[in-house]
Amino acid sequence: MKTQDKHIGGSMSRVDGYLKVTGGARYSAEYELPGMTYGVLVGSTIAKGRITSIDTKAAERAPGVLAVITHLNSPKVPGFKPTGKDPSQPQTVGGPLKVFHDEKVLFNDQPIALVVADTFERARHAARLIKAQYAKETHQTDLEASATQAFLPTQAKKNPKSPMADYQRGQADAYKSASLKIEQEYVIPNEMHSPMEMQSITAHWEAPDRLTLYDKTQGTMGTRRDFAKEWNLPEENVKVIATFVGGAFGNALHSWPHESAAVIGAKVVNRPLKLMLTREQMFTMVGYRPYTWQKVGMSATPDGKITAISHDSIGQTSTYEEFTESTLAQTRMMYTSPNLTTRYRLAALDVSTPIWMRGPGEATGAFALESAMDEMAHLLKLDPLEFRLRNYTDQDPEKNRPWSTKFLKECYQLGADRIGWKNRKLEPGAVREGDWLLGYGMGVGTFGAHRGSAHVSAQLLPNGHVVLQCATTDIGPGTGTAMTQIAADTLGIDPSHITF
Amino acid sequence: MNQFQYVRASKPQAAIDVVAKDPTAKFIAGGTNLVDLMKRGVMTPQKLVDINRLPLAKIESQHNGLRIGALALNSTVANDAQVRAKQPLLALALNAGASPQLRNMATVGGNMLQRTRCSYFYDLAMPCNKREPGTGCGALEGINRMHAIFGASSTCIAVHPSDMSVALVALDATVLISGPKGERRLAFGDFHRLPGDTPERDSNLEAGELITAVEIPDNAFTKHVHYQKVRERASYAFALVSAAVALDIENNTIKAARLAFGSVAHKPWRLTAAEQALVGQPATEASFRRAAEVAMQGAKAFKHNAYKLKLAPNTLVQALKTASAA
Repeated sequence: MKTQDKHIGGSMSRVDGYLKVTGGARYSAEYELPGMTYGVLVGSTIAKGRITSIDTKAAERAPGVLAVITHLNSPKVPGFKPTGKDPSQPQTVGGPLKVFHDEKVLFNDQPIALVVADTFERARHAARLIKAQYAKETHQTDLEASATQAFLPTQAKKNPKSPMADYQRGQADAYKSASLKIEQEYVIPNEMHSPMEMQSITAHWEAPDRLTLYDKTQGTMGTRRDFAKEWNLPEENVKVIATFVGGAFGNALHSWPHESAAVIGAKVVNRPLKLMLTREQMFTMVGYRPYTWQKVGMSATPDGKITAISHDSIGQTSTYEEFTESTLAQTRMMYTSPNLTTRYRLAALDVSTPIWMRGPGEATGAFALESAMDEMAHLLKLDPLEFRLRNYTDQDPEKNRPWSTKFLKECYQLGADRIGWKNRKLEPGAVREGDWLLGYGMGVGTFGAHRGSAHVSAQLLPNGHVVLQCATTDIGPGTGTAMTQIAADTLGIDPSHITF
Repeated sequence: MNQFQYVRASKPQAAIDVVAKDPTAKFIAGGTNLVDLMKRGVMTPQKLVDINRLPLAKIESQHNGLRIGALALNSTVANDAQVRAKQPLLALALNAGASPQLRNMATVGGNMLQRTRCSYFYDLAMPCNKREPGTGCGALEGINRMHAIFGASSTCIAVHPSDMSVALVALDATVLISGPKGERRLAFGDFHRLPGDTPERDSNLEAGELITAVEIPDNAFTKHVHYQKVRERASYAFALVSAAVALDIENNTIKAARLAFGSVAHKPWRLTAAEQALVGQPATEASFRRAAEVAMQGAKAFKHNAYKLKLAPNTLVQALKTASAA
């Protein structure tokens, strides 16, 4: 088959390029349905406490308002339960926010009411008329202040083989007794995805037990499972349409409170309901890279062989859902250190749940490990690239098995040649260009090459055209084009005759 | 958005009459700030008086200066040949502000009257004495990295966001005002206010008063000028600190100087003492440093904006170096 490849890896105009540049590609907020209603969320103005009263009278009387939904009148949602082992969902304990479920406030700008009106403007106006009173409690949103209460993730408590569990080879914290050692702390703040397209959803109950969602999601099947579960429906009764995604970077990999709220709202008014987050709400309820504190201790021999690494990490999560990520995986497999310790902890803060952000925990961890490698190389007065080569490993030191493939040495060489690494000075700050200091730096990032199965149906039409169908979405990399190329090479049919 | 009435004025006096009689009425010109504030519920005028058709957009040379109509667009002023020749500092400051799209809508009068971008002013869930007098200042103990280092009060530490006004205060401009009691002139430096106990008032305009024009006297600052704006993005961002600088240099000696800071106070911040410190001095970095030290006297930082105590003098020195080399 390989020799017949013509299109895979080749150059081809994006199949949806024309639609995208002419504005014809429809994003989640652009679907219009007969009888559409519009929802606007009201957020809490405290980070922790209880709603003691909520005055919705003025909003209910405002022109065009069809419903105001709060915890006091929200219909019961059959299954606000933790999500299961779905690989598209974070491995979390607890579960997504049960929106309008009770009077508790768990984070700032938590949705406490949904206003549904016949136009967006009327809904937005009425939303401002809602006044809530709270019994405020002291909140904690500072990770470093709550570091002493950091805990081992539940999955690691249950399973010592979990990738989130403490890991040890050789002696624990052996670097501490070495003479050539470094110990550094690294902090990554909260980082927001802020994609161009704000999260939006149109929820439409086509029948009392049939739900269609036009939703911004990076996983249509995951969203379908979540809402089938939430409303106790057979999965085939839930249809999720997300043809295009206008950037997500990870924040549409989870089901968020506004999606649940829209489905509730559509149920109450029994009409399709469109809800689009504001830019501000994008910062408070659809995830972010968690604030993460890390400490790396490292020791080496004078000739640059690493003798020990300890890597500790505390990541931020919410009080209602445990979000974990692979911050320490790279440290365990990257270098041949005979002594190695990793400890991953979580701190539950009064914030909304974080989520993966492009190059998720792996990037967070690599930042600390690779910065520490540079610190150690500096201490040893060794070229940072040479230092990495001296600790290169030809097999996975965590699992003691060979790599399927590894071309990192070739990659180092190529990079070094391309950026003129040989011109680098060992002493930092030694190269200047006008007012600017010039630096040469390097770092290694890793990410697992995960594979899963998918179902695609192909239909050969009498005119020789092929129609491919798959429950997927294009988050930007060109899913439709890639699928068309694969089909063209597999079937030997010209791409112009293939529709994905 | 709240319901509001919209009327279009054909004569200045008619516009003034409507707004003077109705405290819930506001003039609207480019609307680049007011419409945003209305969408967010920060300002809720019951009536908008559209002044865009009033004949107040002319830019003209007078016997001793330039007269710029209040409705002249920011982009028009920035690209005007007379402005560029006679008052290049103003053109530089205008082009440092906002985006081309906004400059094509925003007017001179509206630019002067734009509201602070303090996030507590914009967030209805937060206290703000400027938005709702008596509720307190959220920024005082809150996130105040964008806030004032000069002239703040315990009721408000917000800054004025305009770039244009920083140049105008340095250039000794005069504001021409029409109101229910007739016409008056106000030195640009007296136009904006410090917060004091009344942070809800940004300027000394009285109810119903309308800015009709700004006059800038001719001067010798046609060559050695610079507007240095330090911000977090190269474009379309408000200043952390800005400095407007105009020098008259002869034989490397400074004959006269006009200096002002932006985004450091509730009003564009003229630096008269620092100007005097430069007069008669050689145009060298050492002189600029000494002037910057004078400029910073009385500065006071809050929890998150102490960086401005360094950034502001450095910005001024950089602007002076650039201007003197021009």
